[in-house]
Amino acid sequence: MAAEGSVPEVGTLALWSALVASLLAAWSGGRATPRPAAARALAGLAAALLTGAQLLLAWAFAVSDMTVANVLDNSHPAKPLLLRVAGSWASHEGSLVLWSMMTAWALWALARHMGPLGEAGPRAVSALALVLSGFLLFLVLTSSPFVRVPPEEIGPGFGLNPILQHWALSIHPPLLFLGYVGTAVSFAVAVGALWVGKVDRAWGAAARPWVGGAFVALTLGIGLGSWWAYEELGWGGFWFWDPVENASLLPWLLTGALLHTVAAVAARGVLRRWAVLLAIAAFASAIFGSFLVRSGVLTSVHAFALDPARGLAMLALAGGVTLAGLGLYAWRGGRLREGAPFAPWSRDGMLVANNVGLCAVAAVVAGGTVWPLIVEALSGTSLHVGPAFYVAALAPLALGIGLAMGPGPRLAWRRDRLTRTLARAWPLAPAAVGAAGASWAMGGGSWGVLGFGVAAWVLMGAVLDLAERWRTGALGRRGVGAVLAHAGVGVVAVAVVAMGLSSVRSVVLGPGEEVVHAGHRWIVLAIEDRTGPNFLERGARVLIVPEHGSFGREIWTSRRVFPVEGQVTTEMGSWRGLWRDLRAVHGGEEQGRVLLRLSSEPLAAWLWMGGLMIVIGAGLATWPKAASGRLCGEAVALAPGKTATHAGHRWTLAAGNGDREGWGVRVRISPAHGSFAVEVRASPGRAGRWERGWRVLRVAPLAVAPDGRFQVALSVGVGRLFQAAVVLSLTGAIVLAWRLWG
Amino acid sequence: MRRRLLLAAPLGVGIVGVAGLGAMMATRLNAPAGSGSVASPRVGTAAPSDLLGRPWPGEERRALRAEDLARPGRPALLWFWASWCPACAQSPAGLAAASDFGCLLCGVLWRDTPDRGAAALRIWGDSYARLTHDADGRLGDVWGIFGVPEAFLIGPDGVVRRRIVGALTPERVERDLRPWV
Repeated sequence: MAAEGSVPEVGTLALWSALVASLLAAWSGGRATPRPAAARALAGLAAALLTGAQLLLAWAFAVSDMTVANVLDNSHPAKPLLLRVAGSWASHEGSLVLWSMMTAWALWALARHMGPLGEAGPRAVSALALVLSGFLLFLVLTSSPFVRVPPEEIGPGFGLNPILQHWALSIHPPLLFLGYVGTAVSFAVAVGALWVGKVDRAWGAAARPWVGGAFVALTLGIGLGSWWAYEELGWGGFWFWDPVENASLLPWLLTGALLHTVAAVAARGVLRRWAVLLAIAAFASAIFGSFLVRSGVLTSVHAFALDPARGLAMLALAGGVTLAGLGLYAWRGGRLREGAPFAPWSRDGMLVANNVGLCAVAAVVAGGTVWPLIVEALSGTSLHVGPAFYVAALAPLALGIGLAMGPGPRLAWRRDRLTRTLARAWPLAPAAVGAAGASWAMGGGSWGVLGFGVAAWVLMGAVLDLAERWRTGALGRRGVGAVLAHAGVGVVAVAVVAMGLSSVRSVVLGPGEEVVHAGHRWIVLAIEDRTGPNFLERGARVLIVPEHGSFGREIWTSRRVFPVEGQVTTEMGSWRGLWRDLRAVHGGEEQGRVLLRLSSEPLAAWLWMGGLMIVIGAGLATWPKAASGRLCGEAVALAPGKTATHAGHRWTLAAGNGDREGWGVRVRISPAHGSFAVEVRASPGRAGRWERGWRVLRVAPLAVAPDGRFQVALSVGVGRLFQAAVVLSLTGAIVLAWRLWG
Repeated sequence: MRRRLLLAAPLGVGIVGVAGLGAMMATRLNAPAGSGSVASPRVGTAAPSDLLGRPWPGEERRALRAEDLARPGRPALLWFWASWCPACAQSPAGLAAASDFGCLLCGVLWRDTPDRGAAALRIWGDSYARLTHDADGRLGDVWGIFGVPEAFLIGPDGVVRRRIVGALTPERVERDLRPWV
């Protein structure tokens, strides 16, 4: 078919057109008098074109079009369809297309929602469009995925490495990319503010959702990768301080710091310059991280296909973007005015502590990753920086961050008294001391004792924060999110410390033999062969029974042979639980007996639960407030004493006062067929709310009409009780799924 | 003035960092594969010849034998490769060059299947004197390879001389293999 035969050519055309659209969008947003509507349309066009290019590439992979070099090198017709399609973003070229497509989507979203950024909005769009153009130029000039193969080289395809054929590895890179794109948007928002020379509280509020989105995507991406390593590799452990992992950790740390800084800018207008600088640093770490990983500079032993031109182009792109951002900061940063000064004992001060801590962690991780390269370049000897270094260097920093996290969110902005700080901190001490004492009594090492103590300190801090916000009525969606995310950090800390106490033992057992390990009896029931859909396997059925109990679980661990692929994989058996995972790994067979590696990983499930809490919490805390006009159901103009009916309730304006500068209303709400009423107060920027069970009734003031009537918007939304029910049932479903699945 | 400096400080750090990375990459690019041998505990010891992999079906005449590694009498090159490895596809010319100057070329098909390997050989060219199949990577583990392509040069006396990693070009054969024979 002629149309199908020209897929790669159409793809190339789409990439070039997207480049032109993106450059035009950059121009529309960046010219002396910006044209937001044109920028928006062009961003949409670029997004559509790149989506088309990605789909065409996926199509070429799906139908195994081996005339395309990228397909030939990275796919094979024998792969399952889904993995073939996922292969379209596995290679360097394909991942660039995916990255560009996501950036174009983000560009379009930013262009549609640039209003809150004010004057800086079009400039931010322009900056992001420039970044996208740079990547597209790199893509079409050095790394086009749509290059044809000379006819004599067409073969069966070379991409069938079953080690990497796993669903989690198919969606882990896109999620991580989404996070990187998020850091690009934060960068663009910061550059836009530098461009117009103005960073204020409104900018902080407008930047927060973009930073939050980046953080959530990065957390999900890193979490999924770590979960894959824990579940599939079966080595025990979830983080290996591998350079590739570290490269993804850096933007996460810096974006986490930025998230808090942006919150401080939004709330108080402090740390403005620092926020801008941090946004630039976070994006720089993301692109330099992927540069190091992709260019082969880091993976020295396996720098096989290192193309010098491509490596230099990548360095030029990453360096150009970073230096442009930093140069703009040096040039325009002086125009940014700082907010009011603050004392160290204040919420601002604790946020600074958070930032210093997270940046120090990032510096240690970056140093540990790059140091071996420097040593090797200077002296020629290779050096290995192992987990021991990271644990020794990072544990004190993590403890410090945890200590500030406990009371930090409950301090007052600007200045707080030392005595009051201590008064807020002391209720945390019993929890921390209790947890530390318990772990000491159970024989935890010194890091275990300290780690559990600080984790309990953080968790107790989150609980007290929740209670205090509840009591003072400041428990909005953002508050819940912040508390949930901080509690998630505490839960993760507990899991990390606990998993350091895992116990491992290798045994050789025949059928019917058993061993006692980690408080359980491990009984080998049988060693047998099984046949799967496309593999044969030989393994052991192992029954695990608690030493003092009768309720057990049978697991299956095996070696799988895939005859078609010529591959052998090891399948781990595990009994997952809320308190510990019990895992057995098949290590081979000797004279009818099986070699098993038994391990107990305490609180492993907490790691993933804590990660989910961070994701949900950060999402809740940073999701943008809907524009008041859209949130509200009906806008009415009321004179004092008049009543409107909306959503089955009668809304009476009890009183209204003030002029255009500052005004407020009191509205009495009563059910249409009820005999009671509630009075709520509302002023601009602060809607009045009546939590009525499943629903919440809201009054949002809009304007004072010239005739003295007050224009308010009345609406009904999902109440806190309903939200709590949703959160509870979701949590329940997750826990239930975990138990059933484990 | 001091404030200007403070504002420009991040730019300075950025420039130094980018320049450093550029310099590092330049040193890498000038000598990526040319640094020759990669450290390996196997170098300097007798080649392990108890594990040989499985012969290819239909290629039993070219099966790898213990004496090919133990005391070959001429230099041998143990070449780990796979059909799914792009760098292996760039190496046939180098392999032919190695074979031309008298190396006993022993190909180990690593984590792949012989039919796929045979298809690759039809496209890439075949100058192997010996062919063996390491389906589960066990032979690779014995030799301590990280991936493919990797090669070990074994002297006529059966002692491992060099370990090289990455694609093998004729220039690389001249530079990294021939002087060691």
